Amino acid sequence: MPLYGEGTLMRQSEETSAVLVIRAWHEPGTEPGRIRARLTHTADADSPGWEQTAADGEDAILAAVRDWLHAFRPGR
Amino acid sequence: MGSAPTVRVQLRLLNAFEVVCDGRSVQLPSVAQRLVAFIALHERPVEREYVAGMLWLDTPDQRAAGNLRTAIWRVQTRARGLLDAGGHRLRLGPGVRVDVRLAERMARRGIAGEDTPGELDLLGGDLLPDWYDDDWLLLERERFRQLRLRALDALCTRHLCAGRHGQALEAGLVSLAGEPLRESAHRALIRIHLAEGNAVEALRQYRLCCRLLHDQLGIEPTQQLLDLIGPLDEVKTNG
Repeated sequence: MPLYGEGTLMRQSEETSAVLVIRAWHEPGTEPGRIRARLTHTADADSPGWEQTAADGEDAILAAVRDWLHAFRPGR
Repeated sequence: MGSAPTVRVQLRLLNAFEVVCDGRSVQLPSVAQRLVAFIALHERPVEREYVAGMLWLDTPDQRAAGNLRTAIWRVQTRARGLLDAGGHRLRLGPGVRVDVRLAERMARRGIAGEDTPGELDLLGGDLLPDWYDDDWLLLERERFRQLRLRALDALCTRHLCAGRHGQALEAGLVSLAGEPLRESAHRALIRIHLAEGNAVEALRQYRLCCRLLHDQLGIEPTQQLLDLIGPLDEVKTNG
């Protein structure tokens, strides 16, 4: 079976990776420096599709990032 | 011997990948699509080695270079004029029209206060949203997304100020679809409904915003939103 060619994978690796995209914004009318964020993430980079959560305030955003890291941590 | 006739080539990267040559849609295999999109999203010609390294990250250099040559061949045999691969650097063929570049120019003009026909069609789409496993695309997609949301907000405000409520509503709804938790986008829609004298729709939008904020963020709306809806207070409290 050919390894590379039309319709085959571009990347072949044992490495596990994941993606987290944070879209943050300051909402006019809220206290200065307060941000909200939409977090879009994969369980791992090869999983199809994305999951989304949202968070209000720095602490909540950091907690969401921690949750994602913990869920991704290899061996769990 | 005369030169080959010029082929008009359009490359669409918004919503989904498509190549149109002389009005005819051309199918490319996924490896070739990724090569074309990668080249198209670079402002300048790109070195072959860099392209091979980025698209075939975990592949030995020699094999990556071979994969690149195959991908180039596939593009050139199916979509003549799309790719200029004559030298060490790769670029799109001269005259290839790329929708996301046009959308970016429109967005910048829109933010600067200029109206351009057809802007809403182009600003409604994300950059290749289904390509979730291409790291090189992520930042470009997010950068374009921010730009188009700003342009849509500016467009919405401009139409509202000019009394073009229908067009303002269209732009506002597309902007809100980009991020339904943005209160500023809800406020813009409520302003449009109020300007039209449509209190029922204004309240419906307000309630939708409250529900989203409550369900997804566990918070109440800002005072700005409450002030905006204030004149409708009686109905609001019953909602």
